[in-house]
Amino acid sequence: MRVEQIFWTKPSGWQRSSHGSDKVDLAFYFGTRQSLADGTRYEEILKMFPESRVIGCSTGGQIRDDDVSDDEVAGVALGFDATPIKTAYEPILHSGESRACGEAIGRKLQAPDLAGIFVLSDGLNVNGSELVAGLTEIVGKVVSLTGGLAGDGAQFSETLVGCDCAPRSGMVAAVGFYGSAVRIGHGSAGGWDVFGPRRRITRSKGNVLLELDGELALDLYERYLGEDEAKGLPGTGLLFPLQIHDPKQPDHEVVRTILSIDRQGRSMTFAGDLPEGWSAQLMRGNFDRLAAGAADAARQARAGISECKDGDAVALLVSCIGRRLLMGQRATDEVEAAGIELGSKISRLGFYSYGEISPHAASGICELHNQTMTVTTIAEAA
Amino acid sequence: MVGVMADALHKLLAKQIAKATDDLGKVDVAELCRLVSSAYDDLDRDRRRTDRSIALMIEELNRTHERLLDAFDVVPEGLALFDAEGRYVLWNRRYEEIYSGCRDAIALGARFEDTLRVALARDLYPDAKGREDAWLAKRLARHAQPQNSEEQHLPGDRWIRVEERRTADGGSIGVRIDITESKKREESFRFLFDGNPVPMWVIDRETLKFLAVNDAVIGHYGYSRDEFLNMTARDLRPAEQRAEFDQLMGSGRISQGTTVWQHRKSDGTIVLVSMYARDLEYRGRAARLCAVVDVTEGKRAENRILEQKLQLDAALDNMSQGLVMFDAQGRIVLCNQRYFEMYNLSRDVVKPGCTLRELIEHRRDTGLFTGDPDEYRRQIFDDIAQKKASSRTLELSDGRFVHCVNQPMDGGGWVVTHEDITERKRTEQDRDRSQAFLDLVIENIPVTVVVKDAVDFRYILVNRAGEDYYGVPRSKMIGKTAHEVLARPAADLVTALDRKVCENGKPLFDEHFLDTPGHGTRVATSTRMPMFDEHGQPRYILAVVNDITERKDAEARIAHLVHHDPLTDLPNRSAFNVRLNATLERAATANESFAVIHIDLDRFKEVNDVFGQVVGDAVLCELTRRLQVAANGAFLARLGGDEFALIAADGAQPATAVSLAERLLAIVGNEMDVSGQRLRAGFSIGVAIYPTDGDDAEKLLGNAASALYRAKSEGRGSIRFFEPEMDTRLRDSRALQRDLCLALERNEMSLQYQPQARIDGAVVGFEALARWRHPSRGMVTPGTFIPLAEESGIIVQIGEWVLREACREAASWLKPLQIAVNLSPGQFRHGDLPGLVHAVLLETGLAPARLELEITESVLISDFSRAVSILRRLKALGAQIVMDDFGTGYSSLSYLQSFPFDKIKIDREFILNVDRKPQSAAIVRAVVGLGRSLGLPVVAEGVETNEQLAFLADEACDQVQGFLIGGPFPIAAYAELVGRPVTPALRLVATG
Repeated sequence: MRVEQIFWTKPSGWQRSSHGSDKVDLAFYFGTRQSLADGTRYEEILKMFPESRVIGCSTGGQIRDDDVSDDEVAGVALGFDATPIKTAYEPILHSGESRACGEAIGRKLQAPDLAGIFVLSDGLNVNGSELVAGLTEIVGKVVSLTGGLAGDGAQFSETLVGCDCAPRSGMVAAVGFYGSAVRIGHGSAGGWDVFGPRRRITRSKGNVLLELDGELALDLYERYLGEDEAKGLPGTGLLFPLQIHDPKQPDHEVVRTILSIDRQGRSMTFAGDLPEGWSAQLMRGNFDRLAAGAADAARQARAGISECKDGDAVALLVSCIGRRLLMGQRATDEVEAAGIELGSKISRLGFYSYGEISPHAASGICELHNQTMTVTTIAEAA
Repeated sequence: MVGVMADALHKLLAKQIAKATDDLGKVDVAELCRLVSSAYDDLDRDRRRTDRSIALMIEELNRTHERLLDAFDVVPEGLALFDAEGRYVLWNRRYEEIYSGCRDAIALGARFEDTLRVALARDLYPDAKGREDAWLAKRLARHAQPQNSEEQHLPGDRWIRVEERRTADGGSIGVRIDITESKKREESFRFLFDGNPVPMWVIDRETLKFLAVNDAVIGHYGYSRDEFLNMTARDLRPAEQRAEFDQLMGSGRISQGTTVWQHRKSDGTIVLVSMYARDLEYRGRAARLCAVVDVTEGKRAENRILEQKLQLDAALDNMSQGLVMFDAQGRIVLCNQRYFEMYNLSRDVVKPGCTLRELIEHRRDTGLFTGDPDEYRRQIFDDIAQKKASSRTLELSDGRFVHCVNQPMDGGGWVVTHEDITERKRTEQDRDRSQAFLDLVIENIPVTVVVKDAVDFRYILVNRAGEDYYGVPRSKMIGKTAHEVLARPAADLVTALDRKVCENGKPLFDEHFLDTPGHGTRVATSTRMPMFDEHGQPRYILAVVNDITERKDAEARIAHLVHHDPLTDLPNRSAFNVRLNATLERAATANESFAVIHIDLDRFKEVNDVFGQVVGDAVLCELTRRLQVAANGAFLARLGGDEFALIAADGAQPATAVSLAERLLAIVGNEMDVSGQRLRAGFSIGVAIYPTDGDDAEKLLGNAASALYRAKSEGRGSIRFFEPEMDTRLRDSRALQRDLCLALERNEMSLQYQPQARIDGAVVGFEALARWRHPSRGMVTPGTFIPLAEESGIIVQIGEWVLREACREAASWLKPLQIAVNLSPGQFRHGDLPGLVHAVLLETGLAPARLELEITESVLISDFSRAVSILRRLKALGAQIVMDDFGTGYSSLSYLQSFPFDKIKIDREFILNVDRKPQSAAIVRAVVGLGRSLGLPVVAEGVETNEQLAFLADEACDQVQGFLIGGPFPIAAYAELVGRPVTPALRLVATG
C-alpha cells in the first residue's frame, strides 16, 4: 500500500508530499465548510487522481500529522496492492431516515469478503446511533465499521459530505474495503472525568433529552454550567458532555455531546440516543487527561495493523469538536500524543467531528461516540 | 509535575512562535501576542471551569450533609456519634430528648464522660445511686468495648436499651431505644403467665428452645424448670411426630387447637394435647407463647365412639343392598354407600334430614325414578302407618331392576333395603329369549325336524319344513302316529325305524324313498336319535329328515351335462372319446373292424353370420335330428361347433361306412325350413377305418379329419375315405403356408394385369392380379395361396403390397386408364385401410378416381357397419368401389341398397353358362337391367367367346373382362395399351 499526503492552502494551492506516478485508488480530504462548499477542491483532487475514488467532508478543524489547522484542506491519497474498494452514498434529508440510510449503504457495500467500512456522514441531519444500527444490521457485527460525522466548526449550521462528487449537505458516504489483504485497526477513547451525582434519564425522545431525575434537563444543565457558560450554550455544552449507560450494563458507557438546545421547551438535543431509564452523569475535560485518552485510542488502533511490516500505513483520526473547543491551541497535545503512539511511519490525517463512529472498546459493538478520539488504521498485509 | 507542565508550555510557546513566524523567519509579534493571549484565555477558562465544578461539588456535599442531619432527626431512636477522643460529633433530637436532664451538657466537642458526670450529679441514673464512681468506671469501660449492648434505667421508671459500636476511625456510634413500654408489658405478662393454671411456655421461634415455662407446665409434664430451659419444643414430641412438627414450624403457621399433638411427659407417658400459640417478642427475641390443653381423656372416649361408628359404617357400606332409614316424619336418618351408588345420588341433597319427598324428587331429577312421586310416597306411608312390611320391584329408566323392601321400625320410622336384581332379571329374560330363539331356529331350519314320543311313537313336534315335507299341516300330525298320517307302507317303514332307534339306543342314519301324502315319492335321508329320561330310558325320538330328491335329480342332470352337448343333447367330445376307446378295445379283442365318420357342415359360419345364432342353433338341432335318423343306431356325437362324428361299429367295413355316409348325405342334404327361412345345409364327410387307417383313437380321428379336409377342398358335399397321401398333402399345405409368409421379402410376388374393356372393345382399365412364383414349385395359383394367406393373416401385407404396386404401375401409364385392385376381408379387419389407400395415392400420385377397389360380399358379412364405414371413407378419398362376384352370395341385393357402389361385377359362373343355361342368361339379363335402373355400370367377368360377348352386347352390358379381351399378363404385354413403347416379343404374347 502507498500513502501520499496532500494539502491545500490558500496562498500555495495544493502541495503533495511526493509526485509519484503510482496508481491512486482512494483519496480522503477534509476542510472547513467554507473551503469545500464550491466544489473546487474536489475538482482539483479529481484532476490529480482521475482514477481514484474521492471522499471527504467538512470539519471542525483538520488534523495532519502533529498539526491542527482551520485554514488548510488536508488529504491523503491511497494506492492499494491487493485490496478492492467500493464507495457508496445515500442522501439523507431527515434524521428519521437514519436507520434506512444505514441499511441502504450496507446493502450497497455488502459482500462476502467485505473487511471494513469507513463512513462519513452529515453531522446535523442524522441520528448517528440509528445510522450505525442500520449499517450493522446489514453487514453484521464482524465487519470493522469506523468513521465520523462531518463538522462545521463551532457554527452548527451546515455540514457537507461528498463521495465522487462535490461535497453537499444531507449526504452519507462510505467506502468499503474488501479481501484478505487489508488490515484495519481501530481505537476509541475519551479521557473525560465524571462529576456530580449520577442521575436517571426520566424523559427523552430519541436523541432529545427532556428530563433528568424528573427535572427539566436544560434547567439542571444551566445550573451546573453556571451563568457564564450557560449563556454560551449549545457551544459550551460541548465542554460538558453527558456520560450515559444502561443500568444493566454498567461498563458500557457512552458519551453524548450536545448538538442543540431548546430554551423554550427546556430540552437538549444530543448527537445520539439517550434511552429513558439509563443513568447519566455530567463530565468535564482536563487537557492532560484528554491527551492521554487520544494516546490510548492510537495504541488500540495500532495493534490492529501490527502484522503489517512493509508498505505504508495511514491513520485516520476523528476527534470530537468538543475536545478541540475545550483545548483550544492545546488540541495539538492530543494529536501529538496519538502520534507518539502510532510512530513516525504511519501518516496521520483526520478531522474534528460532530460524532465518532467506532466499535466500543469494551463490547466491540460499533456505536456512535461523542467526545472521543477515534483512530482508524489502514494497511495491507504483505 | 511542575516540570512536565513547564515542558508542555514551552512546547506550546515554540509552536506559537513557529506559527507567528513568516517564511522569511520574521516573527509577527502581534500574532504571537494574540496566540499567547488566546492560550492564556483557554487556560483561564479551563481553570474557571475547574473552580466551577469544585464549587458545585462542595455545594452538593453541603446539601448532602444537611439531608443527613434532617434524616438523623427523623429517626425514632436516639443517635450519637463520638470521635476517637469520646467527644460529641453529632447527635439527634431524640438523643437530646432521652437525656433531657443533661441536655445542656451535650455539645459539639463535649466529652461523653463529662456528660455522664453531669447526669450522675443530677441523679439521672437511679441504679448508680451511692456507687457513682464505680458505676461510671464500668459504664466507660463498656462504652470503650468494640460493641456494647445494655439496658439503662432512667428516672420515672423509664428504660432505655443502649447499643454501642466502635467505628473505623476510632470513634463510636451510639443508639438509644426507649423500651419502657415493653418492659411494662413483660412484667404484666409474667404475672399472668407464672400463676396461670393453664400450662404455658414461651419458646424461641428460631431455636425452639424453651425460654420460659409456667408452674402449671412443670406440674403437668414432670420436668423441672431447669430441665425445660435446656430442652427445645421438639424434644417433647415423640420421634414419629417430629417431622410433622418441623413442617409446621417451617411453614410459619401457628397451632390454633386444630391439631392434636402427642407430648411425652418426664415419666415417658404420652399425652394428647391441643396447642394455642401466639407470636410475641420476649426479651428482645422473636418468641412464641404456647398454651397447652390436655385432651388425652376426651380423645380416647371420642376414639372409641368413632371406632364403633366406623365399624357400623363399614358394615353398612359393604352391604350389597342399598339401605336407607327414615324417621317417623319420613326424614332420612342414615343411608349407606351402596344406596348412593345405586341411584347415583348427590350427597349434597341426600343427607340426614332430607325428606322422602325431596329424595324421590332428586331421584326423578337424576332420571332414575319415573313413577308418580306423590302416589309412591302415599303408598309407603300407608304401609308404614299399618305397621306393614311391603316390597315392590322397580324398573329403573336405565334398564335396571331394583327390589325394595320397606320394614317399619318400633320407633315409628322405617328401613328400606334396595336390592339390584337386574342380573337375575336378565338371566330370566335371556333364558326366555334363548328358548324363543331356539324355537325360531327349529321352526325355520330348512330341514325336517320331528320329535316323537318314544313309547307310543306319536308326533310331539313337527317344524315347518316337516309340514312341507309331508305335505300335511302340523295340526293334523301332532298327537298322532305315523299310521294315522302316512300311507301304510310308508308308515310301516317309519315305525320300524323308530322302533329300531329305541331298541338300539343309538343314533340311526338311513336313506330311503318315502311316499308322502302331499308330495308323492321323495328321496330322503333321516337321522334319528333317542333322547333319554333321567332313568336312561328313551323318552323322545328326535328325527332330522333331509329331503334330497332335488339334489339327486340335479346330480343326474349334471352327470348328463358332463357328457352331453347342451344344445343338441348329443354326446360331446369327451363322451365320444370314451366311446371310441371302448369300441377300439372291443374291436381289438374281437379282431373286428369299425369306421370313424367325421362330418363338418359346409358354410355353417355364413349361416350364423347372415341369419344369426338363433337360426344357426335351430339349424344344428334340425340337422342333429336328421343325423340321428340317418345314423340308424350308430353312435353319434357333436364334437363342437358344426363338427359331428359317428362310430359305425356294426357290419363289414368299409361297405357299412359307405352306405351310412351316403345315407347321411342324402337325408341331410334336403332343404329345411327353420324359423321361416328355407335353408339347405351341405355336408363334407371324411372316413377312417380301423385298423387299416389307424389303430389308436387319436390317429383314427386325425385321419378321419384329414379325409374331411380333403373332401372340403375338393368340393363341398362330398365323402372322402382316408388315403395315406392325404396326410402328406395336409403337411404339404402347411409348408406352403410357411413359404408364403416369406414370399414378399423374397420378392416372389408379382402382379399381372387383365384388361377391362367397354362392350365396343375399347380398353378402359386393368384388374391387377397377384401371382406367386414359388422357388421350387413354380407358379402357385391364387386359388391355392389366397386362402392360405387369408388363413395366416399374411393377406394384409400381400394386399398392401398389391395395392401399392398396382397404383405405382398405373400412375406410370401415359393413358389415364382405370386400375382395379381386390381387397380381402382380412384387410378390412386389420389396420387402417382408408389410411393406407390415402397414403398410397399420395405416394404414387395416382388420381383417386382411377383406382377401383373390388370387394366381395364376404367383406360385408362379418362386421357390416364397420365395413360400410370403411367403404364410405374409401369412397370419400375419391376411389371407385366395385361389388365383385355379384350374385353368388345370399343377399347381394340388400348390400346394393346399403352402400352406393360404383360398379357391379357379374360372377364368371353366370357368364360361362350364359349360352348353355337359360337361368344364367336370365340372371345376367336381370343384373344388367338392375345396374341400368340403378345407374350403375355392370362388368361381365369371364368373357371367353364371341357368343358371350354378343349376348352381353345385346343386353347392353357396359363392360367386359375375360380371355376374349385379354388374359392376365405382366404389364409389359400391354405396353401399347397403356401408352408405352412395345417390345416385339411381348406383343406376341399379348396377342397370342
